[in-house]
Amino acid sequence: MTARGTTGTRWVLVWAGVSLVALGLSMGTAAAAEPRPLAPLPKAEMPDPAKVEIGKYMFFEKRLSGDGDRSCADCHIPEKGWAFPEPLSIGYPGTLHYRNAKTVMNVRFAKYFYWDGRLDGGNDLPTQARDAMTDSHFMAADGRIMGQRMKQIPEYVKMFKKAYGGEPHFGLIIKALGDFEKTLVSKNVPFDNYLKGNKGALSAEAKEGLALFEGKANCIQCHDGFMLSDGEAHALGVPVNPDIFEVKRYTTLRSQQMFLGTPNYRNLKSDPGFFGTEKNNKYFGTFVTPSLREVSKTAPYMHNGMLPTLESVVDFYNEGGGPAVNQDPLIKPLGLTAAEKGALVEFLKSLAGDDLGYRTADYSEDKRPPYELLKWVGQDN
Amino acid sequence: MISTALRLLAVAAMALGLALPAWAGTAKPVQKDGKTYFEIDGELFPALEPLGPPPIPKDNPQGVDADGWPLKNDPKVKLGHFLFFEPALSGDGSVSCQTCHVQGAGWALNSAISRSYPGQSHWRNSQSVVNAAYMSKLFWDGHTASLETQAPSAAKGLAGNGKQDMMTARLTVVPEYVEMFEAAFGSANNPIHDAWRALSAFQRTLTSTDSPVDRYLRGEEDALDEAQVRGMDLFNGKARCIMCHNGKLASDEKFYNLGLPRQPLFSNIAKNQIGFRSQNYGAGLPEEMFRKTKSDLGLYHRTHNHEDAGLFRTQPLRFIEYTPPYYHNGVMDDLFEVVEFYNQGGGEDYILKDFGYSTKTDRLKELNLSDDEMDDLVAFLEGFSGPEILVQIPLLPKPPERVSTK
Ligand code: HEC
Ligand code: HEC
Ligand code: HEC
Ligand code: HEC
Repeated sequence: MTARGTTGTRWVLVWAGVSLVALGLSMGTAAAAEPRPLAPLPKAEMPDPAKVEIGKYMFFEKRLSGDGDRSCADCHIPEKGWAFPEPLSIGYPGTLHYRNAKTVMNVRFAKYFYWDGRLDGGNDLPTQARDAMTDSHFMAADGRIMGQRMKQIPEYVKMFKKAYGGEPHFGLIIKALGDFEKTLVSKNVPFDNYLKGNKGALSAEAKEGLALFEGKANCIQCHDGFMLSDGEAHALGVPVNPDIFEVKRYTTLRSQQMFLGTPNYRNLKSDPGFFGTEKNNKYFGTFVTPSLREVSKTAPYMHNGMLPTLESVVDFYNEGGGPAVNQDPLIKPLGLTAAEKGALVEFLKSLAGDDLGYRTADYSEDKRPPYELLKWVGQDN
Repeated sequence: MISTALRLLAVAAMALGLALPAWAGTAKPVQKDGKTYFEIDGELFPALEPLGPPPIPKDNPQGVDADGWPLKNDPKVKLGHFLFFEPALSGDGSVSCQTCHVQGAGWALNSAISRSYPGQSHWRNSQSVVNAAYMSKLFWDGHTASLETQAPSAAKGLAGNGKQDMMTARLTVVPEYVEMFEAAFGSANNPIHDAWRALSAFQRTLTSTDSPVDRYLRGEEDALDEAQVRGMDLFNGKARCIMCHNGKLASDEKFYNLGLPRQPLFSNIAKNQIGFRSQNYGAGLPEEMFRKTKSDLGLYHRTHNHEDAGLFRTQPLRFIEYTPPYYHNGVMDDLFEVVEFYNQGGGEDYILKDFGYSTKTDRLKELNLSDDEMDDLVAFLEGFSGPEILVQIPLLPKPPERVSTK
């Protein structure tokens, strides 16, 4: 990613390191380097199953939010591709979000987190989990209180003892969440099977789509590598979602951009995207290229969910995107035929693997272990 | 019985325009450097005095009348009045200051342990905000020095769980609020900081200064009946209350362990236990320590000095008729229980029980008050409450359904 000489965000220190390295290689959004070849997901080491088990419960645990009414799984719904099936996400009770909820599948490989890339990826999932738990529009939790809540659930205490040799506390909760997320990796993906040599894993149409993706449609310029993402920010000109002006969504936008120190945060007429992270005008309205893995399960699309289907995404690219001040020059009319568009969609569908088998209902309120009284040390209750 | 001499003294003082209360009975006032004290165990304690207007900090000025009383129509006060009822000043937009400081419940909450935001429990009794304007140490453990610094911890944290940026955004999308901030502070550029200041200005209008005790102390001798006057004499002498509940505020703003009973909720209800334990944890207490005690360690949370364990601020006594239950953990439901408790010399020192050393104040002794004397003392305590304070419930400005940007 290009230099992030940003001020006013709490990630300054993190970015500073990145900038130094990146400065020399800095390459505006326009001139893309040679894209990396598409590749199957790499083999990734799986964390200690006992820790993963805890993380799983934590992921579905609503009591890890202030009001006890939001879990990660409320917005990253396993049955909906681990994303939220509406254009814009819900928020913490009393708030609504102004962006589409991204999937958490394969997130262990993400270079940066969030549409605006405001958090370093690089496998640092606990830091993101801390963000999600404490942000006012996600879970608005106080980490210290969350630790004490979990301590009053004896089943969890047992699990923490087994996995970590100690009692639950916030630091372990976010670690466990990260370990669980590390297991959310696509399984048995047709496209990966194809790349690994199973030529029958893709239909003829999908193969044609792949050729277009790497050729005429030139998607690979931005969607490259095994994640099908360059981790860079680009503006495509996705239309503004008018619902971001609903007061509860707009207050989230304003509050977050205020926190990030975005210039003119009180008068934003659209989502500033990576500009909020980087504060350089050339990034206004740019968003970090999302991975396309599991994409057929995570409709609607784009940072604001404005495109309802993969077909509409391909149409959008085919027409040369939409108007945007910083529109990437790679976004231009493609002249695809109807059959070619269909082939491209077929290819995108081949990027989704098997259902991992998690069911939200298995973690519903009536199934979760209740709070119990804790014994005092040295005296009866 | 009020002594005739004192009666005459009071009448004379009133005639001279000098407000001198008619101290009556056995507790003998001592004059020193022009001030009145009562002597107990060889120590002097400032006599009760009527309350004047509240102090107004230089860095948050507000309009006052000729006598120094805060004006209700000051734009800051008006804004603060709205904000006190405004649930936008919380995490989920469902909790306002008024949720826990209910005007119909003496601007406190009629619940031993306060509620918190949904899903969570508080761990202390909700205090009245009436006369909070006079306190230089706010909260039960006195950990905040001014209303201006207190308000953010009330809207955030265990009370409202509000986050600063979200609360700011919620206020700035409402045009009526932007106007009110402009009127009160000249701009709406720093709304959350100014919200705390407006709330403080509003709370400075919530004063109770015309209780029968105040009127009596100003020389209006009919303000208290005979039982109450007898009770006052006990308060100043035999019952030893004046040792801590003294001066203008009826509080020395110092800290004591009275040996209050434990709050059983912390042992019986998991949610309350969580509220209790998370505050101990949050204050940096080692877990081995707070798992051993079922009691709130009070001032210790702030200082981490062992001698401060279990100490709480002396509560001021005005308006108490409206604010049961009493004490930091709400363990007493009425003033009779309170007086009986003091009559026994307070309670068992739980710090001694849990940690093996005592912090209980030695000012509490068995008082040997008769039933009649206890009745008189309660009657006097009731005299600390003037009329109820009720304000209009503001019609809050509604946020627009959609925000339009210029
Ligand atoms: C109230 C809805 C909500 C909740 C609850 C929530 N998220 Fe999210 N999550 C979102 C939204 C919306 C985004 C995208 C936000 C953005 O890009 O600014 C997101 C983004 C993410 C991302 C970044 C993905 C990427 O590829 O960049 C991760 C990882 C994530 N969430 C994990 C979690 C975890 C773990 C939890 C629970 C601790 C959680 N989320 C709780 C709505 C939610
Ligand atoms: C200039 C870089 C670039 C090119 C070229 C490009 N994309 Fe994208 N793609 C992006 C960015 C950036 C986003 C997110 C934009 C936003 O949300 O505003 C995106 C989003 C998407 C999404 C939505 C994913 C989701 O989870 O919401 C799909 C699907 C997609 N692209 C497919 C394609 C296809 C197919 C092509 C080729 C026709 C293509 N892209 C070409 C950069 C690019
Ligand atoms: C969820 C309940 C709750 C809410 C909401 C709440 N409070 Fe309180 N308040 C309390 C409790 C409980 C205490 C005592 C806390 C302690 O001592 O630790 C308290 C104490 C106070 C005090 C100290 C009084 C004294 O005598 O020292 C003031 C002043 C106060 N609150 C003002 C406010 C304001 C202003 C708001 C709104 C911004 C507010 N409170 C919101 C419960 C609440
Ligand atoms: C040693 C100092 C001390 C003495 C003497 C004392 N008090 Fe207190 N009083 C306190 C403290 C400290 C508190 C708050 C304690 C707590 O909540 O833990 C308090 C609280 C109270 C309360 C509860 C007020 C509320 O809002 O909850 C009442 C009523 C009261 N005292 C009346 C009396 C009376 C009557 C006497 C004399 C019989 C008396 N006090 C003697 C220190 C004292």
